[in-house]
Amino acid sequence: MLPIIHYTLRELKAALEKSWEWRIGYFLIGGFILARWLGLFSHPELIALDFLLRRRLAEKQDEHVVIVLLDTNDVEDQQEWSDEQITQLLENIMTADPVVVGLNVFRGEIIDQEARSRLVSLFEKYDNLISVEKVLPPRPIPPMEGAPSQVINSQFGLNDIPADSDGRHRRVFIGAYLDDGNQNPQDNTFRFSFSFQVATRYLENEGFTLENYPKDPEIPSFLNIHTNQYTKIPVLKPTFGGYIRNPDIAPLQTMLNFRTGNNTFEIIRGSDLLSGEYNRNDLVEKAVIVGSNDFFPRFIPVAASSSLPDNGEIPIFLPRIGIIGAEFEAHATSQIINRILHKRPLIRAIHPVQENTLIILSGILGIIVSMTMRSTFKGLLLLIIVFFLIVLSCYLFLIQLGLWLPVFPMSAVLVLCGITYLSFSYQNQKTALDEARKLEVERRKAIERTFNFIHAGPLQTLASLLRNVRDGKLDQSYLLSDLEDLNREIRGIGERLRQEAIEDVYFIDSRRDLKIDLTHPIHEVFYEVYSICMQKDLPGFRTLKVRSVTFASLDEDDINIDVKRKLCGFLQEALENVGKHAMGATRLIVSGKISEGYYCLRVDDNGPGIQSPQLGEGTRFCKRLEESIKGKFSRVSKSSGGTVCQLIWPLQLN
Amino acid sequence: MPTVVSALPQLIPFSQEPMTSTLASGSDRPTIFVVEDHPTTLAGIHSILKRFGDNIALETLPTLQEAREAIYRLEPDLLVLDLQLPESPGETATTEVGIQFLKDLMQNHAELNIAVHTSYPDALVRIIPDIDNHRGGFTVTSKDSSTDKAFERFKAAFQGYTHTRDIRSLKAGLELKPEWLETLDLACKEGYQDRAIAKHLHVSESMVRNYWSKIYDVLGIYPEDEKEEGRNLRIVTCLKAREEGLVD
Repeated sequence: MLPIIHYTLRELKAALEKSWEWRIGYFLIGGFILARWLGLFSHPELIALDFLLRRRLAEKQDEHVVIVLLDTNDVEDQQEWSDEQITQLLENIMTADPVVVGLNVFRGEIIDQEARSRLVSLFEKYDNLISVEKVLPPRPIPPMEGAPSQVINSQFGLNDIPADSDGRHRRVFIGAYLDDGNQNPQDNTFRFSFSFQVATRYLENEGFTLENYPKDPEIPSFLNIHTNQYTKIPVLKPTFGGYIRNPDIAPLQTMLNFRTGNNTFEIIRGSDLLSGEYNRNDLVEKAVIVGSNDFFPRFIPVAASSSLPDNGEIPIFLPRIGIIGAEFEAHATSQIINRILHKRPLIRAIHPVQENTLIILSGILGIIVSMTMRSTFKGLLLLIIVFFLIVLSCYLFLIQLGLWLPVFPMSAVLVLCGITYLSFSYQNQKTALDEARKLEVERRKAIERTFNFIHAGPLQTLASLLRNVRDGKLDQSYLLSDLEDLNREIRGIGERLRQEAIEDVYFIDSRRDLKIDLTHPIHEVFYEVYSICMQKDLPGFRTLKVRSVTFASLDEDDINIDVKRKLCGFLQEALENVGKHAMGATRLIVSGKISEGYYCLRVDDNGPGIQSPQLGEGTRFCKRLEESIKGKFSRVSKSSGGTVCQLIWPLQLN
Repeated sequence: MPTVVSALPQLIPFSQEPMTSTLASGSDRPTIFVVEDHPTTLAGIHSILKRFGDNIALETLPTLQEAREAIYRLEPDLLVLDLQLPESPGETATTEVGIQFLKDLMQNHAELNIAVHTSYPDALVRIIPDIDNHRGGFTVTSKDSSTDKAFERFKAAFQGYTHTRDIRSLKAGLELKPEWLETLDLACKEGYQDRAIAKHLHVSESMVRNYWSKIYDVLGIYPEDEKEEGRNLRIVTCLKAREEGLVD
């Protein structure tokens, strides 16, 4: 077993070292972390969460929460249910002895004084009757008018729903501080949310009391009074999962882990309850949420699907994109109750440092995966498999433990790093292949050229030698000179090939597609450079009448290819300067002369002389050349007009 | 051009122009060597050379080595040379070898009349200074030129003239050696004759004639044409030189 681990570690180390050659992957990972820290990924992360939550298997109907639907279609004038009807309904419900009843309907102004006082007295009679108010801007809705403040404080909860930036709802309030217009927010009244109050009442009945978690009083928890065990309710923080940098994560919210499926809650029609056509057992020992389908917004955009019967009785003039308020509250209540009673997970997030570690690991995984495979296709395949594994494990963590892992950044950084490295290595392989092909072509060319040299030179000499010998012309001196020729030719080939192999033997004029072979004698090379320059259409050349050119030849041993190239560059520069600046020049004298162990290369025109003292790039080049050949460069105006540009260097360079 | 063919025998005594080697062969018949191996091109050259008439001794040399030996034995009156000579049949050869051969030739046989017949005239650019120093005739013909043109160039070389305008850069003024300028100055401004010019420049009279030949080439003057039209070559040359700004 040990050798395998050892081997794997070594492979891993090698892959990591190799990946360090192209650090882009690490920059990508860093960029991802940074972008996430800036909150750029919030939106896709929330969408990814919705996606995963919706992919869960359907759950069975909740056995603790029941919805009573007040359908406006059941009222005569299709308007709101009246206080009287609601009071009647609630009284009917109470006879069935439910644990808690939540009235998720706003009862605003008093229309019928008598009906309202009946309703209020119902609240006073049953302390397990809970109702709603809306406290947060932009549209607060006050609690039922006429209810005493004692009832409001203990039996009314807020039913505001925080919306995400994309307009969807994924969070619920546990509670909030009521804004009393006071400057000091510390003494604001705290109000639990409607759903949380309903759940708390229900759980009290089951033997769980709401307590502050002893280690962190900020976190609400339920204490099992029999086993004395606490169960925490996960609370959102500003760094919670994909909500990083989201400004409106107020204290005491939790994620909505809605029930999946189309049959999530038992729904009893209010009209049936009024007429007595219902099964009492449906309400006994339940948490009943009474809600209407007639107030705005009709549907709350949530990833959960509604269990309302879609039989056309409900006027649907909007495509159903979510659930009604009562269902939302039912989901919120149900997730708390089920967490405590059945350990159904609530959604929680891990610490940001852990999240970032996961993202970094996925990025590195992507890099390693794409680098271990030799073939790009296999690498891609493996990358896809790993991608699905990551998504799958995130999914499993979410549905089993309620852990909301950063699935989007993880998978995205994996794929991005993977693809980047795959394309890099693909490019690399291609380049290597091209390189090999080019080398092969070069090799063939070299062989061909060698053959050509041999055929053109020594083989001819040899043939004539052979012929002479066959013809009996065995003159010693003839033979000797031919053999000497042969010797020289063969050596020449080797020399020439070596030069071509070890160095570039061409002076290339970058502006034209032209090469000058630098192995030619220097005076010929100079003449060629000069000749090419003179063919350029430059203003200074147009007026020229007479040119005179002489280049003395040099012992080629005194000068190497590299210096030759530089000298050609100098000559070209000097001549082009005449073309560019010597307007109106009629005479151009170019010479290369040897005197007293120095070579003097000189370009002399009768133009206007040096006009600008500016040090051009060409002059700078000449200064550098001066150093490399220990020569002296000068460019001066003549007193008689015209410019002389010359370079003098000692012949014994060594 | 029957007049040219009939004019050929008169070429030989017409040696006040730089005609040097005709008599060196020791024969009355002018000798022409053709260094060329390609059968088609060779046939083409032969058909051009036919215009010189039947009275020529023609020798074909397919390899450079043979050419070298033959010229060493006997300097011909005209050498027609291809630059891209395959060294052995079926081989592709570089112009490099041809250029090298030409350089050696001009060094060792300074008065040889050479007509280069090539597909790559540009390869000659780098040895223009050597050509300028050459004292014999030197003309360049591209292989794609017409038979008439090729014959004119061959003939000019045979007569010791130079025609290299095809390979010179003529855009930016004319390129002249200082001696040529002095020759022009002495002739056109001072009115000196060749002998006096030779004395002034400390060169031989034949060298001065060589200078004139080069000057004609540079100025684009065709001596035969001018003579045919009955003009005085020197005066025409001085006029042209003045026009070009070579003489004040």
